Amino acid sequence: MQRRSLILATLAAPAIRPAWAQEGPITIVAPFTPGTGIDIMARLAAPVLQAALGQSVVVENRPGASGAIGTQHVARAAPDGRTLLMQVNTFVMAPPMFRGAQPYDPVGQFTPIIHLTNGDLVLAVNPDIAATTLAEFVALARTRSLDYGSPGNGTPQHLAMELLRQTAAIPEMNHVPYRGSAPAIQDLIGRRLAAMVLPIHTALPLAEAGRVRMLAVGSPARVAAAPQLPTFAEAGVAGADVDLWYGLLGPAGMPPAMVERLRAVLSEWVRSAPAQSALTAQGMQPVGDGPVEFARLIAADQARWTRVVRTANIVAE
Amino acid sequence: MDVFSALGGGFGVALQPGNLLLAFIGCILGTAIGVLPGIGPLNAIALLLPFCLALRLPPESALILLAAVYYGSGYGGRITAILLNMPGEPSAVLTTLDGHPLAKQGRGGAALAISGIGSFVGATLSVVAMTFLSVPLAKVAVAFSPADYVALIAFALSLLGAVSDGPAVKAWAAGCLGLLLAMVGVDSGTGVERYTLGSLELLGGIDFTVLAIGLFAIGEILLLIETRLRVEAAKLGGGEPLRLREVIFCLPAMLRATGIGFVIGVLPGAGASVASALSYTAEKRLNEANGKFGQGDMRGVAAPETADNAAQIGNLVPMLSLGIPGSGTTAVLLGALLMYNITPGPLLFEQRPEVAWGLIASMYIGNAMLLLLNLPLVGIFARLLTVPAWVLYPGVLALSFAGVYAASNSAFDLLLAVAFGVMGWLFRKMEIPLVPIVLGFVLGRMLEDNLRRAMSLSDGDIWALVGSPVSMVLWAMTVAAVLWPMARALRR
Repeated sequence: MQRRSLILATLAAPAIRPAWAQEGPITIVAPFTPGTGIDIMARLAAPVLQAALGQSVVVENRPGASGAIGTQHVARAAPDGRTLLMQVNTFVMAPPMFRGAQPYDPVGQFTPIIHLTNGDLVLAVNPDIAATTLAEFVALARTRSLDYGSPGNGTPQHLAMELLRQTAAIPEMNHVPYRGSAPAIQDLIGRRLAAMVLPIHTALPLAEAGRVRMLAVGSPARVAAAPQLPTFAEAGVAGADVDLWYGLLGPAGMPPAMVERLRAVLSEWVRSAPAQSALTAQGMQPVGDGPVEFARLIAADQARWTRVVRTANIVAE
Repeated sequence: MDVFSALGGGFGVALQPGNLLLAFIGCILGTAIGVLPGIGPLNAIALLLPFCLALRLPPESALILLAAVYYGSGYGGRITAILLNMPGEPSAVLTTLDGHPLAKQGRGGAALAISGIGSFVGATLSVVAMTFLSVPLAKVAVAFSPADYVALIAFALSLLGAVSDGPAVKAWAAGCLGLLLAMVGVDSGTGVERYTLGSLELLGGIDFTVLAIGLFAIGEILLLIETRLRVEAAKLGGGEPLRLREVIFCLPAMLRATGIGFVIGVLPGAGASVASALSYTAEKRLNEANGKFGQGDMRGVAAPETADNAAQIGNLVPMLSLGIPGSGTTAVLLGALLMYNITPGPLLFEQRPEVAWGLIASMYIGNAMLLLLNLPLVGIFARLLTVPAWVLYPGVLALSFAGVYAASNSAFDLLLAVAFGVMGWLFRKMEIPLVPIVLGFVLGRMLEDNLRRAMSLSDGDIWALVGSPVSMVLWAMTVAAVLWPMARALRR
């Protein structure tokens, strides 16, 4: 299949001109299955890099173990710019969940290239839940243990709710893990789950149809897609901000010139008008921060989520 | 909104020459992908998606193409299942049971034809149901709780003993082995590693493709090597072609299979494998008096193939009308829509009628194309058997390995597939049926997931499992399915 995709990718290349140190295909590893946010980001970025670098760029899905399998693969690859990694916050959330040896070191084994986008998350409840604001939700959750769903143990959606629980001092919430978002959303709109943290583009149409009620957005500021929604801080719970960040990384030790080339291409793309509209549909906002800021974000988030994971004693799926 | 005028608008979109051509291309691609073991519509759609974007296809055209690949693949999986006893996709596993015996009797062409007709009947009737009932059905699907799924899966498991032709005990044992294999990997509730032997590759569990290709394709080839190809292989021709009266004879089975397949397909948590298994066993149980299931009964080919295609169409209902994909492949289709800035969901039919109704109309056309494409090609497909064994089987083996590797890009999975191949070879010699293993595997994971969810939602109250009318009916059917053969055996 890989070979076939190469042939197909080559056919799609408008013009092949040498630009990279070595000839040959560039692989963007997406450590989750096709159709997930990371996979879609990788598939949006691949043609952009292909056109700019004059090399065929292939997306390779290497799913498994909360993304650890594909990520580990990139950590062990040569830093020659031919193997890249598209990742989301799970990148720093997964390692502390492994009981034994950690599968990879998010800070030491990678070269951050560009922080591409942020995906907004919202807290949604089913319409039967007697809470129209975050404060009411927290008050209700303190009186009884509410059921909430997530696409799996240790996913950003799970840890976001866990962070909210720890920050708002809710003694207990019952986490029901699913395999992927779809069955969890089914149980949320079927009114069997009380609440769930959802990507905003998933929650919006359901909220418009009256199937869920959105209470607050996890981003630090209000978002354009749903300006009526308060942030967690505005709604009374400070310090529980959470979103999905998507970024491109390579193995540790990539030459700075190569990193800069990739950053420049993708930074220009992510700020362009067509990219903006494609990203908005995914509930994402373009960012485009370079290696220094991205490395700072990774280090800060690693500390933060390691603390959340350890406090809640969550183990990997 | 009036359904007929909306559908008329949809046909206006689907009948544009460009869209007709795309549906045709998608049907051919889909059939080809269904034939190849391991390489499913999921990979194909993920690969095609960037081309749709690069060619600036409008969203409805892209969806027509990608969906044609999706439902076209339902026509392809049966070809290798019937002719070589190697299912090209999960839901074709049941088709091997009667399809391959028919091929051995020289009626491979007839089996291919009836499965093509069944696929057409199942898909087309399901599109009709989808046209008129999409929105209310989606509401029903949402009401189906984890406890109801547990009951549905228990019912499917209770029919395992009926799947194979040999002693029921062997079928049950094989089914239990499948359940155990499904337990490999990290426990999704507690994070405990089960049977992973410390391997990172096994943390996520065993991939279905690896198991199915190992057991069926590699195991079959090992057996052929051992017997130096002297086993009774499928014959080309020699038997009668498909008669009209046989099609009419199979029609009731097809209609039942359409009902079962579509309803199960609409439930996001079930899927085509469950649908084909249920409809096969239903036919076998209903026709115990006059059937020769397991030795080449036409209905044993028609029922699972019809249900498979009906379920595939049913799977699109929650995806389009709720934004909930029922399978990995529909999740990729959903991703494709999102890349086009279209959010499937309750408002899709009103906000983007050209996309929703264009797709539905194109499915009427596409399935008619697939039937017209498949019937004349039956003879050519059957000619696969004239390829010399020393060319055919190494080729199949190479494609199988490619399919396994494509699923996960992992060399570990190749070794695992070989191990399952050896297991499949030994089990064939011991006459342990393989289909229950695969079904137990698929159902086991679904059973565990849903049981955990149901228990978690009810705070461990076991009576929640029989809390709804749906689950009570399904449990009653389960008990009946277990007791009925016992009672019959006692009376004898």
